[in-house]
Amino acid sequence: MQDEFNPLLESLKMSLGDILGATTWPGTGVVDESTASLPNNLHATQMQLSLPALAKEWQIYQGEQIGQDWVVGDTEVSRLPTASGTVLYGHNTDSVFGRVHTLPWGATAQLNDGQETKTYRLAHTRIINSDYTPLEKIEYTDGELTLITCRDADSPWRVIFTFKLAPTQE
Amino acid sequence: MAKKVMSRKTSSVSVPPKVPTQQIGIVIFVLVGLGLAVLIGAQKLTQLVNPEEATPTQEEALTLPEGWKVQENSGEDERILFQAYKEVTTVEAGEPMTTGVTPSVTALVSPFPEGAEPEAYTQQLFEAAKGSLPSLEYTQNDFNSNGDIAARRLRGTLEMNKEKIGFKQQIYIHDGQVYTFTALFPDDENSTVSTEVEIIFDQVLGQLGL
Repeated sequence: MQDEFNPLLESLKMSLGDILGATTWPGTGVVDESTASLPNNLHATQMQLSLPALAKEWQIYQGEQIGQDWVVGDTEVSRLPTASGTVLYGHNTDSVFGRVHTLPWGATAQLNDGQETKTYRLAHTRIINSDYTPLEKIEYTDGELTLITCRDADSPWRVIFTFKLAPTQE
Repeated sequence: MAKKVMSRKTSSVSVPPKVPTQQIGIVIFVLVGLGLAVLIGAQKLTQLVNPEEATPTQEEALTLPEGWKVQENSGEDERILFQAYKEVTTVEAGEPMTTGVTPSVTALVSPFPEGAEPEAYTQQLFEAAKGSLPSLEYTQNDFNSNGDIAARRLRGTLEMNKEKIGFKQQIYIHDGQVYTFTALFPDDENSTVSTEVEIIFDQVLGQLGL
């Protein structure tokens, strides 16, 4: 479901306004998996991500912050607004990033920004405790694609998959 | 018995004829009445010529609970129907700081999607909100439909700066429009703010004719 307006979320956002201070990590862990796309005010971008080894492809949405929380769509992959790199987050469910941990090193991810498709390869994985590592402390670099999801439901542990830009083949 | 004689001054100055007090009263009454009629007539005329100018501001029309202020809308977002907040009083030295949240009320209006069914539509909005924000916890979700008005009332808490904040949300569907009210307040059983926001909800609803 694309760009569907949810007045409950919008009025919460207006009420909370811009919150100063640290933002939280996206809460990407869920107990009950939902495959329904519900109206969550996320706006679609031109970007598309695919993980060929998992036969998955997603439209990328602009990350939306309400108070200190990031909106996490049931089936949507969203982009964090970082200064460098491309950082995407989504639920740890089968329909989103729940199977990324099964990818072998070097597995490819393809990112299309609406004009061209770039290929990235899985380079390393980190697990961090979000209670002790603020979101702002993580540094991202250009030429990297980062996928973030939760290790499990209602948990402070976040799994960070870093893909590096693959050299272009002549 | 000697009759008391009233001495009468003679003067060359002419004395105006004596007007009875009753007549003066009638004239004043008529003049005041005419003045009021002109004033009321002018207001009515202004309303007819320019209804927007004659409409009282929200703050004038609503009697907000003590400490609440209407937040002026810049007019950029037509979805915003009403916003108010409660001024946070400064904490006296030695008193504990109870909460950092500024109590607020926001009312939005949006079109009701064509072909949607009010109960299913509002339940879907609820499910989406609940699933999208991890710190959002709904503790109440009631739906009722009365004639041409459908309403869903929600209550819960959310987290901000590791502090729990109470909130109430109400959705009303009437005449092809969705009216959504959200109030934030301290998550404190002893606070009266959660009641105050309901008073504000009711007043705004009254203005909308709901």
